Amino acid sequence: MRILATYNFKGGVGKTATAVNLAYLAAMDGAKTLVWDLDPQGAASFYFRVKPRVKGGARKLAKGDLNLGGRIKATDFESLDLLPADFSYRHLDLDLDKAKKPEKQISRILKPLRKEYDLLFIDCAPSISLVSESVFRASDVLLVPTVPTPLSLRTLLQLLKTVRKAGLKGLGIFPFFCMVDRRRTLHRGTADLAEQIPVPFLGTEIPYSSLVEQMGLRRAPLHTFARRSKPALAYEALWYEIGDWLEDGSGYFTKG
Amino acid sequence: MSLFVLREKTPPDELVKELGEVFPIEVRKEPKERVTYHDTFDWSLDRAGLTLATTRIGRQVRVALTTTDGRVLDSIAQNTPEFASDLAPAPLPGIVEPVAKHRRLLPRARGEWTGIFISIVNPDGKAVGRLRIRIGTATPSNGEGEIDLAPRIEFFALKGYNAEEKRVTAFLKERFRVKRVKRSEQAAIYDAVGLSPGDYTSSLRLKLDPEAPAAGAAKQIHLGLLRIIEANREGLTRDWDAEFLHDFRTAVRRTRSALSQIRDVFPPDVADHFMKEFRWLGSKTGPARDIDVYLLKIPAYRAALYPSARKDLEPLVRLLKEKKKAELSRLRRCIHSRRFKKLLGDWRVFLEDSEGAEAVGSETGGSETEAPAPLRANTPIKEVASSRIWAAFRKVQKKGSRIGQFSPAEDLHKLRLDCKKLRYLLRFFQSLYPADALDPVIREIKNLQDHLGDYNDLQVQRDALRGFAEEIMESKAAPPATLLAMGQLMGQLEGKQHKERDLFHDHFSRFSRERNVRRFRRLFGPEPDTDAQTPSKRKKR
Repeated sequence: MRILATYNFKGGVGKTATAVNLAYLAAMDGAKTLVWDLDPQGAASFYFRVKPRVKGGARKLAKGDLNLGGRIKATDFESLDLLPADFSYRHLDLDLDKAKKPEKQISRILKPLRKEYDLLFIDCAPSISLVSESVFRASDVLLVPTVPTPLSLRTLLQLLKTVRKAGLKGLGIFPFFCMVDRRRTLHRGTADLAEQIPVPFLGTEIPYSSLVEQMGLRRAPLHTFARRSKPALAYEALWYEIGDWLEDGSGYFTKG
Repeated sequence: MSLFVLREKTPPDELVKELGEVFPIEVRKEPKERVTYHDTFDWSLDRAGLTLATTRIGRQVRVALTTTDGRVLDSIAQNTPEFASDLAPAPLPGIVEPVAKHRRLLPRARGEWTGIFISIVNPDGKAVGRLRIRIGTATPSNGEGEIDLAPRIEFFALKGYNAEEKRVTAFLKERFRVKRVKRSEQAAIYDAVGLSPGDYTSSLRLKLDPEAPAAGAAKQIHLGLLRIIEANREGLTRDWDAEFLHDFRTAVRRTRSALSQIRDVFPPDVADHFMKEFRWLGSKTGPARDIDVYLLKIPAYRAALYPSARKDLEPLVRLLKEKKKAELSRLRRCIHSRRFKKLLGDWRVFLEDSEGAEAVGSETGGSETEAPAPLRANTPIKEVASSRIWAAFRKVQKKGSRIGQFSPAEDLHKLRLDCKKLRYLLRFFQSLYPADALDPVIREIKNLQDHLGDYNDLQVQRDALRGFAEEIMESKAAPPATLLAMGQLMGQLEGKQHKERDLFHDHFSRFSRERNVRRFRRLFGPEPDTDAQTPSKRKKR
């Protein structure tokens, strides 16, 4: 199983839309896919029409007593399952702090699921904490949706610094531009902005679109209601780009 | 997925209506689907746990192979596959070819399905369970008569929604008395049209009683062989694949072998009459089978040549196909002839007659006068079997030990025929002996027979290629390149044949080694006190 976390400590940048749409595309490609909604707001759970409630919640999760497999819900789509959010995840950080080696807890608790799924998308909460560090350690890739503004780039630089400090050498960091609005001057110069960052950006940009917001109204992945739309095609392109990388990097279907 | 069938004749629409009154549901009708299930005549796919189904969609055909682990491999083809080699893409042919080999993927039965797909949803509009009602009919492969099947309900439980699954299945069980089943759609269809997979095999599966009178047991063996002959008749005349003729011809040869080897159990005039008739039938099947063998060998011939010379064999392929056509129509005439029908009819009447040892009437061409009672008609079959196998073994031993370095190919050919007779006898009577003791004996004779078969086969191929080359020369039907390619092949065959010849003594000494003789003696040899008499008895016959 390969683990991809959508992460940014800025909120409202499209983390959940990215996790949901990419997971849907991966499942349509035949990969056995799981989405883990780790954000106490439960947006990903909402998109999949699943109640954001997990018996045992943050406390059991932090202690490592939570049987994740038994909490999984099938979505309405083949090969795509969901581990719903729980409101108690808002203090997961504090609960984790009590655990032994908290930074390894997420990785440990995911072990039984490794054989069952090809891909796991973790939708993280917008914060930097013990939880995010534990997620970083478990993940193969961080997908970082970035709005083309100086402030967003600054948080991206901070993230890179944190990762470097934590010594997470094997973790791939894939920033990409999101909510790009070509009408704005700043948004037209994404290439220049990308140069300020020491890691390469993915080539695909996700345009700003009200259709992405409609996912919340329709409570479904973008492709189920606007397959041919610009943002849907952009998510497809993004998925191809990531999919290629996953296959080159020993392939997500084979890695245990 | 859990599977249920509706027990009573409930209209599926009623089920949908009542389900909708209890659970919020979304309903979608599925288009009609016409599925043909394929298998070889000897049910090789079924035996290997494979299911092959085709569905026509417009001008194309959807091919679905279900493997032993339940995976469904789909592909779209332009035409319905007739042989495993027609299947594409990988891994389909790779899975089916080793199982079906050269046998035709016959349509065995057809099913016509319509479906109603139902999602059970919660107040959020999220599916919490799914089910599909499949309403179908089954039709035999000849298209005659459509049979209604019990509607099937497939329930797809969704992870994390176990409580909903329980509620729905409890409702279906209580209200509609559905029954949980495991049978596949193919199995339900086969059952409805009266097909039972595995009902044909080219080997005899008999359970003989060692004490049974020899005449009755011999009839059992012959009836088994007659069933094989009859089962292959249609496929042979329609030329579905080469194995029909092969199985037919082999069963005829085994019948002749049984008539001559299990002797003195039927009245002599009856045995003679049927021997003559089956010899006639065997002679009619020979030429067509020989050509089948060469046609099956063509891919190996091509592979043996340099790539540039491979296409040069095409005129030979054409010649073989023309010959096959002519031989097949000759064979068809034979199969439709009165003589053939009478032979099979009379033979069945004789075999099914429980009186056993009486002579056939004038209708069968036998003598009308009272026939002398057959010598061993009432001897227990095991006694007859052991003495015949022992005699056949001794014959192989004797003939084989006389073959030297310069013996003609003809001698090896005769020894091969004796081996074949011995092996047939072992197969006819295998149920009379413990399997673990018989298996090594059969293995030994098979080893020798295979070796002699290979040797003889190479000789026959060389002779045949020479004959075909002469024909091609005379008719000027091909360029010299074809003859050169054939010459190249003949050279290779000769080389292989020499090698086989050199190996004969190794194979024969293995067969005739003391340990193997002891095995045969223990199972079939005469009692020590009767040993001295047996040869003289045999000479009297």
